[in-house]
Amino acid sequence: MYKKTFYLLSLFTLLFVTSCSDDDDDVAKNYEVSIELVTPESIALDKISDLKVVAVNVTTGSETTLSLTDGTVKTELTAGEYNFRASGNTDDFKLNGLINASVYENKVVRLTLNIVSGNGLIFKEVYYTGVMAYYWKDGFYEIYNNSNEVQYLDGVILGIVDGGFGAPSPWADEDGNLPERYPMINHTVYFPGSGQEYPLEPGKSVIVATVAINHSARELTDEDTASPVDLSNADWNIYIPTQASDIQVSGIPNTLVAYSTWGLDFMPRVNGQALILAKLPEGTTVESFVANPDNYQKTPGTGLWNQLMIPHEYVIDGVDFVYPMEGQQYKTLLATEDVGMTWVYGNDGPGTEASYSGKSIRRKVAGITEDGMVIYKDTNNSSEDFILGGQTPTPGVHPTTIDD
Amino acid sequence: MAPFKSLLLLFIFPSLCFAQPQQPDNRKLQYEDFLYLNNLLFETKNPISISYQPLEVTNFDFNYLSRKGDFKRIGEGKNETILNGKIYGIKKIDRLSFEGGIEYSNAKLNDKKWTNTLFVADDNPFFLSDSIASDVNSEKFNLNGGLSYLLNKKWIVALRAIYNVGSLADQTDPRPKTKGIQFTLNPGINYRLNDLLSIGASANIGWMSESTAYTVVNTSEPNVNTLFLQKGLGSPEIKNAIGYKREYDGNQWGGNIQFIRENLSSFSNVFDLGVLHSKEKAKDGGTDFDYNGGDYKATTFTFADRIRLGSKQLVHNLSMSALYKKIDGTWYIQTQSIDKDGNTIWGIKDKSIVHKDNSIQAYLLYRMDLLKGENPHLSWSVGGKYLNSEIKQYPELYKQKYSLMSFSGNITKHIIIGKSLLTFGIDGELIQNLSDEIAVSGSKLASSFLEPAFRAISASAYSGGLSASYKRPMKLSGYPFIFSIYTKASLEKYNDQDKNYKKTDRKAIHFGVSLVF
Repeated sequence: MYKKTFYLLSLFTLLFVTSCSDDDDDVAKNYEVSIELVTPESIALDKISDLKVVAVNVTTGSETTLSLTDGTVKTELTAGEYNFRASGNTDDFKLNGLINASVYENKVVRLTLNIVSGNGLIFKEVYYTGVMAYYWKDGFYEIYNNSNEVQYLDGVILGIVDGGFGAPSPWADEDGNLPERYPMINHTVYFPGSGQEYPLEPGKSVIVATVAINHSARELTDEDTASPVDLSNADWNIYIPTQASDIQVSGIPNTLVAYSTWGLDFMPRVNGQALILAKLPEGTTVESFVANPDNYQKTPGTGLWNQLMIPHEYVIDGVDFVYPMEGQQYKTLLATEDVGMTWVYGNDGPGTEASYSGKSIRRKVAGITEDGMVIYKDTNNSSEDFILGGQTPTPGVHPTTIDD
Repeated sequence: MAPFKSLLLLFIFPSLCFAQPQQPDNRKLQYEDFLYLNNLLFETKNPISISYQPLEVTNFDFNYLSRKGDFKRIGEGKNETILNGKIYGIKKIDRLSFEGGIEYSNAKLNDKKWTNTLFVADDNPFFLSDSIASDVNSEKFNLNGGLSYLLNKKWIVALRAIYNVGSLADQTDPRPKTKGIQFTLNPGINYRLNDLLSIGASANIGWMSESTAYTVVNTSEPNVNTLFLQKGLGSPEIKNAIGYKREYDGNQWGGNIQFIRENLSSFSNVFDLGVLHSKEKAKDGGTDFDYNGGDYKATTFTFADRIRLGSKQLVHNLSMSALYKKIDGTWYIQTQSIDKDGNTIWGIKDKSIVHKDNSIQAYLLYRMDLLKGENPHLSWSVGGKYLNSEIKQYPELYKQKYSLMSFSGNITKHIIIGKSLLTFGIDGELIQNLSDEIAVSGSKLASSFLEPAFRAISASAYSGGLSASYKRPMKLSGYPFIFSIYTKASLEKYNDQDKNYKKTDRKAIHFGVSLVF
């Protein structure tokens, strides 16, 4: 009898003992991360002004601004996948750098700063979100000459970079590295002209409309929302001759189509997709570039499309417009074009989708010259250069005050 | 699962067989009190208690509960109506004893938000959540059957099986539809050492599975696409609700031992020690992708002791119990990639415990029953409860901590008028917050979710209720039964300082009809 009691108690004691093991060592920890900034040979670190280093947790979207001491940044971060971004200026150049790194232990990250590209033509404002019910033809792309010299639109390419929509780019390699040539999707369009036919004066902009009509006058039914834009005074109309539903507008010149994969019209995703402005080297026309089979590559995996590839060094401005949901924001542009990313969110604020919100996204005003020319912020870091979240579209309007 | 259900029905069926026509049994007028007072093992986890059930009974019960008010805990509806029907029975055939029942409930919850789970543990920090208040319909079906067998004078063996199935649906975007199933096996033995003393042991083995799928019909409405993957006090991950799916798989195992001294005419005592391990694993994505939504692991230690001191006119019961529970929540850091076929793959980069929850509860209850014949004519009880809970979130070191003390009392008077029985009851409880602390300011849902949820569970409050019932023995075609109607009204009032709850309360009204054979 007592043996049975003893056995029962022994068994139960064993149950208790196995239940009491503790695993405090397995709790999530912070790790120490040192970031070493590497500059181009000719530029000393102490010559860089406005240097900003940011760690962005890819999963949560949380940003930590880091401070620099003796050329090194030290911080403590939670475990995760990070984008480390840096940007700054010298008297002659703009610099930025980006590196992806995993933080699951204490580690040192080397972040290389590069001199960034650009000739002064920039996206001043972009509107791609559309309005209900599922009306996206009111998109526009306002291109601004942010330099103090005349720039020419002739041959400038406007394109949508494949990727986005809350998933990593299918073009990234196993380590997440993006290709050196940008894959174009949908329609890739360009300005006509032989070189100097379409000048854009400093401080001036052109509005490129998906369809250059007054969209705010569109007839509405019950589920429709009025479009916020009248594009009847746009400077350019994107006309896709292969799409029967697209139209030409009397008195407004059309852009030309370089190459198409699919789409009823020029239409980046209504939740955001990276856009580029590119200019081919002297002596290379758009027609000869698209005729060269070396400038194409099949869609990875699916092989669905034969896609036009534009080398990143031809890009004069690029903005990584990404999906607004946290943890689903993936870059499609290299740091040399855009070290950051930006997005429009829905009318209910952060964390909501941008689609059909009727909101555009505009670059910040960095300064206004004595003669009234607006200088937009252009550090090739859209996280800093654009007003996050979006706004009511203002095509052709240039602010008269400086943004913070 | 089908063989288990068949086994369960085999157990339940005999227990619901009516007793043969006979004279009315007055013990059945107050059979719940009678079972409690005369079965020392009534509230233990050991199914051998079925052999100790002192009478046979079959009860059909239909009831309606309505609750409303703004003093509600997270997951409760502002207005709730619950329709419930159940059949419960005890049957003895020689050395075999059966106990079981079938229960169905249908609940409508108005203005409910944040949670959409059925059988997932209430303290599992990993759940899908949306911030849109919705009207929710929930159905639950329960089968519960037990069999206990007297092997000989020394040994009793028993097995109980419990099967729960349920569904929950909400018709406001985003629309979660949840289906759940839970099965528990509870075997037990008892060995009699001598005429007074015996020892018992029981096990508890369970499985659960639950799935939730979200749809969004009108995608243009504000916030309807936003889904939170909650992970305790930390900021949730945000996902698109359209088509999002989660599946939980869980299991539990544990055991209890009892030391029993039984002498219903004088001093009796049951001492019970128990431990229970539970695990639940959340997987998201279904066939589209495979994303780990967090692992829940809980261990609960329990102690309970019931002392009964009885005579023919008076029975004292003193119950003490304590519980210590520790929970670890493990979160996975995962990265998304696309394979060569264009499929989304989530790879695990790291996993660590992000949520630790430790709680202690202690109860003390004294109940006195004054007997007339075999049934009590007056019962009263007083009790006290202490609760201490601490949750920590890593690596942010967010914390919530609180302790409560409560005192409760109850008086029930039974009046015999002719053949009928009138019962009146009054009860009350005072809950006093002893301390509280919450530090979650960096968390994204701190003000909209975490802090209101904390203020509700840690609040000082008081509550009271009045109940009445009428029971009358009757005959139908010579077949005796007891007809009963009952009602209860109660009020719970917030008695603390938080501006969101100040002057709020929660009222409940309960009606029911039962037939006892």
